[in-house]
Amino acid sequence: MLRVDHAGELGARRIYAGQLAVLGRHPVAGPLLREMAAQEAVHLAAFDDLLPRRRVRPTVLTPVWSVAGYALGVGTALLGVRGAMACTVAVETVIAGHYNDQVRTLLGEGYEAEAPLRATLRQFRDEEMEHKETGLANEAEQAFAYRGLSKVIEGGCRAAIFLSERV
Amino acid sequence: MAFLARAASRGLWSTGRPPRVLSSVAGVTIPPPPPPNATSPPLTAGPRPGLTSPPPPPPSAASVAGGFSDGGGAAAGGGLPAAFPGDAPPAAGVDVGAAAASGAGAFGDVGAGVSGGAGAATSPGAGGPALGGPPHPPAGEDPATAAGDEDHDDGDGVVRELVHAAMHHVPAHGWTAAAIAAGAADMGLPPSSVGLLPGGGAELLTHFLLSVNARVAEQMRDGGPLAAVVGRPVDRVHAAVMGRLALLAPVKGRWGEALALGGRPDAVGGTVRATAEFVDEVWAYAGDVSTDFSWYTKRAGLATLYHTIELYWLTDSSADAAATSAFARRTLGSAASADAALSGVGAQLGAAARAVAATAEGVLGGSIRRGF
Repeated sequence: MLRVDHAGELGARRIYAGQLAVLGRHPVAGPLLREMAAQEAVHLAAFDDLLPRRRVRPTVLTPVWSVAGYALGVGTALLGVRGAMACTVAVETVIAGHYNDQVRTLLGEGYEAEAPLRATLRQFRDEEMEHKETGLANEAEQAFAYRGLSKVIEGGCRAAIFLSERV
Repeated sequence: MAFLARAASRGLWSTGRPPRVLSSVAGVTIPPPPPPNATSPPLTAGPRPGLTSPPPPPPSAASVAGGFSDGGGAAAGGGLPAAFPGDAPPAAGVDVGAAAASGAGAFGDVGAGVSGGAGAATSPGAGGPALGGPPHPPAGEDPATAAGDEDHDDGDGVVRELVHAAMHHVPAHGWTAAAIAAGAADMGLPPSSVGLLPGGGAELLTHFLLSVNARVAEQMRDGGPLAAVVGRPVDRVHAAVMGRLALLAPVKGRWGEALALGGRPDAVGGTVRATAEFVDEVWAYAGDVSTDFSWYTKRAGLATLYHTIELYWLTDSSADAAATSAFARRTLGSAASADAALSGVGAQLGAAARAVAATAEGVLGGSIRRGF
């Protein structure tokens, strides 16, 4: 479970890095992306701390996600600000849903001791939803081929989650 | 027409055959299956040796182990616990499972080993076998099984005890079923209990390796001798490696055999898993907090180094494995500095990629120039 979260935050961080590489100097998008990237960095640091503490193995595919995330960030940013925002919306949708599933699992039996982790995941999920709202507020839906783009990105995220859970 | 007349006169199901619906649906209960041991001999090979005889208290194991732990302690230079787990005599004779669990409590903590926490959970009064054998008949049907079951230990606890007993015979018999049989005889189990370890010597080796892992992990925990080692990570790694070799010392004479056995296809899964667990423990103990690909390279690298050191140790006849210790320090030290120099996976991958590219260029370029 933590392995997937870690991989997800790593991917998100790399996506923002890629987007910033292209849009870093944009007057509106630049600061916005930087702020969201900073929040993702906090998330990643939290998981970087949790993983060794709980003796969880990171996914073998960390280099793959690192490269793929960066490429996705650059690619969507080249579609313009709206493209970058569309990518954010798609990714955050999947990630927030995933955090929700995990919180639901942790609310089940046998996980009473995991209240701090649950609280952390809830907080992260709320922040991801904020990112999604920010993306939508910034005209993500008017991006070029928004629907198709979202579907592809969401599919990719779900595949990444599937693989990271297993490998 | 005649058929209909017959059916009408005798009722719907009067064809003479049993009804073709499930008996339970028709309100008839199916009789329980005959008890499995009703006519078979009291003891069968396989997972329930304790059914007709209560598990005996570990006998002179304490005295036998005493001899071993002296040998092991002398070899290790003291400060390390006895050679084999569970050497402390258990509190009560019958409560073998609990004693095994407490003596080797690290099994549950580490999550490795034969049964994890399962061994600790069972009390002698528990009914069903944990191993999932044939369905258990109700208690009233077969007095023999019912009576025997009250003393039935958790199957995994018996396996642990058997491994422990068998290890005392490995120096004499090697990693064979003969050692297991001798261990079973020590415990008072019938010779057919060899079936508890169907993999034979290879399985014995795997269980032994996992138990050694558990004990090293226990030593690393707060209060253990390894926990007191301070210094650079390489010092801790060195201490952990030497600690594990000390635990292997009692069977050093048979360790070459063990390495050969461990390489066989049926055993290699167990040995690889044991090594993987060990290097993960060592890195955690040495303070590794990496979460990127170097997590994997570190562990793979340490596994290779550990096996090199182990091979050196095999032919080391110096007192207290001092020569091995020095060799280990040199090897681990040079690996640590090389790792620092290469600084990260990126450099390694880059170097590897450049090497591959240069080779390909050489091969292909040469071939193309030669006109292939």
